[in-house]
Amino acid sequence: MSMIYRNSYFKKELRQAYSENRTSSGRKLASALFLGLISFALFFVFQTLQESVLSESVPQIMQPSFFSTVTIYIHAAFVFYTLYFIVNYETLFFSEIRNNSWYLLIQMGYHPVMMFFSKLLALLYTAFMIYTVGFLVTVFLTLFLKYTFILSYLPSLYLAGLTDIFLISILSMIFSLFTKTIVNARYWIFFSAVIIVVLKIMLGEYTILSNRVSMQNINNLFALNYTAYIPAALVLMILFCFICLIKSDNLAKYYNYNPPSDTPFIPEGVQVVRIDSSTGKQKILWNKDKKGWRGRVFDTVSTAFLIIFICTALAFNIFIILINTSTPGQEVSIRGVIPFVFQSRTMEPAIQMNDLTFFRKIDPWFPVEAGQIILFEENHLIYVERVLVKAGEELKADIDNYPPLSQPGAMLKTVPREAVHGVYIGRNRWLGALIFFANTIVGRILFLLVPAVLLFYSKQINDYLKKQR
Amino acid sequence: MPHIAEHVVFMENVSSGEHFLTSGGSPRRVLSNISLLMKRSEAWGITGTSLYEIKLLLEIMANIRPYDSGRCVLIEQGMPRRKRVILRHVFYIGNSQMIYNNMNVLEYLMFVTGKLQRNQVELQEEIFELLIGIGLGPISLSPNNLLTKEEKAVVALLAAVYSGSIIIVFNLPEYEFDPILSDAIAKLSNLIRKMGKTLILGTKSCLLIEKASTHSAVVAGGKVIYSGTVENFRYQYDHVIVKIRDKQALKIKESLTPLLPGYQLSIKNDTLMISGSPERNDPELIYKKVLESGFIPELMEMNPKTVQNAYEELILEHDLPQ
Repeated sequence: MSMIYRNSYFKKELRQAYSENRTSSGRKLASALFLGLISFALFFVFQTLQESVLSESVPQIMQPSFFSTVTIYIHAAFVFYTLYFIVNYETLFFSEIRNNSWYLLIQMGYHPVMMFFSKLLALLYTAFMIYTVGFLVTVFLTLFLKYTFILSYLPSLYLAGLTDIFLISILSMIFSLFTKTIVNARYWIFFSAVIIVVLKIMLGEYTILSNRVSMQNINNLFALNYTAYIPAALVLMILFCFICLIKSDNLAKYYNYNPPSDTPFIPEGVQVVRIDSSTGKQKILWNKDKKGWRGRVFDTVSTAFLIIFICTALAFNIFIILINTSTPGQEVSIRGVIPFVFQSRTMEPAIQMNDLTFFRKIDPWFPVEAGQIILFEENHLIYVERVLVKAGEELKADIDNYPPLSQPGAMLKTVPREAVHGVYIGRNRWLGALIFFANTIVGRILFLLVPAVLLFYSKQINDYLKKQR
Repeated sequence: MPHIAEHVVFMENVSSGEHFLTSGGSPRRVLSNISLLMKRSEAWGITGTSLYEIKLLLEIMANIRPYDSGRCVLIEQGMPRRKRVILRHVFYIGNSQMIYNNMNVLEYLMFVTGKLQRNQVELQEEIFELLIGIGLGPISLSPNNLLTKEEKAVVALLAAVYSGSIIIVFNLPEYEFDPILSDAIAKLSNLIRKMGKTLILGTKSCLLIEKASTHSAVVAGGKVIYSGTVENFRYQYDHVIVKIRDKQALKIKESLTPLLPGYQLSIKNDTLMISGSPERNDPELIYKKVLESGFIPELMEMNPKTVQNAYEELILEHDLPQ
């Protein structure tokens, strides 16, 4: 026995969810590397969707630049940390006070206030370390893409991401002090992530975060005319730390009673009530018959959620397959509407690249007017053009947008009326981007493989969730 | 010189506010008029017919739960009004979740004893030897998350040994300790008593009481139906004098009944139990009568007087369900 264990509470906290010191540090570095790599991979996934609505809606992650990879990283880190906190909740936060781990330590001479600060520091230090290493990995990997390196916006992006992670860390800490059950605390961590996103939208954080010029000055993050998010987050963090300190110190003064683990079985049909001998009032402490209704509700909700997710994903896949199998003359129509992914710039700005367009299927007697966009067939090819002139049973149609260096009028066609299969009624740009994504390898995995795995292992997942409860 | 309290737990007519309530029945106090006196360096095994009664009694003793009436005094200092508040002199173990899962047993024990002003090398050696000494050597380097809840509870008890608390309340009557763990608890109990502390065990295992306790209390129907030394309990209530194990136990019983007037003969698991009152307690006579009956039993032995038999007798005496 050569190794002497010298543990302090801080060292114990630094190990957090892992079992060995060395393993713990290694895993933290591995997490940081993973985060950097996953952000880099996500950037490439987004790059495959360049020709979609995403390029206009979220240019901050679509443009080929350091700004995009780092922006993706700070969001991926936030999601990663939320999941990490949910999974390792018991080890990372104050549920150990409710498990009376602190009771034992206090009996052995430890001080609750020191334990609180050690816990907080270890959590923030770990978050800081993983986040920083991951950030550096992302920047390092982006260097290989040979984009122009602009240093000025990196500190602002770094700080913005770090604020989110510190805020969710402290919010999770405070929930762990006020929530009695682990399941509820996990829900609260998830909701706190949603609240942070809502707060960022409301306080204009995303506006400045997507602005590459404003982000070049770190002071803009603190300028209230741009966004109040970071100042508000700092105030909240200080306030929550203070509340955590008081509440944890207060909780640690008591032995925490944890029914039902502290309550041995009571025979069926027997209730335990506390009767106040002075007033005669009864309070039910334990009722075996009532036990489990929450569990049933949880089981029903989780099963329903799983079924809805699987069914939606499968329905979406069927929809994509139908669209992909559409052939001229045999277009798939759903309740008289032909969905069609438009993969050309010829009808811009009315229809853009990779938009999901909808055409009403028409019969030969449907009146087609000039100015309408039509879907027609010629030589077994499908065309989408705008009607310029209607001449009896023939229509003259042309595209809206000729690419540069092409000859205008080259696509002008005379279309017999019977060749028209549908008239344009609208488009959905986001659904188009989603179908575009679903046709990529990552999209296939997400929409086909994940539901299939969920379907196959649904029993095991349900059993795991029950066990967790 | 500070006064060293001799009476560590004093309960007088303590009744709980908790009541059992069955549909159509009137409420019955879970604990009613409990009186107990526990002294330093004693190990008490509290058992009974209801897990909830045992658990609640120990919770009241440890100031975890309030009581409705009566008087309860700890180390001659009274009982705080605020419940569940941490008392330095009472170390309460009510579940096994209190130990950290991301350490091994020895490491955890070194961690919790980190605030003792002791040389770490010597302390680790001492704890390691103690673990081996109580039979927990094989799990001393096992990660805590791989331990059973019973093993975790014993680790927590071992930590309590190193605390400054005079009273250690081990309130886990719902746990089932295997013989190895029972022996470990027994050895820790000896150590606790040698240190001048008091151990209070809540258990349904008579064997654990026999191994680890000097005193015992039996709670049934909300009342203490026995309290005193384990030895007295065994001799007072285990009336079985001789056990005869034979396939023909029933025939032997029929033959012996007229030969041993005043003795009770009963059969349990192919074993004929011959019991007698303190006045009729002669194994030699029984032996002679067995020979007279003409049977040569497969096995005949003097009853070693067990807590289990004494408990069963006591429960029968009070006409209670086991």
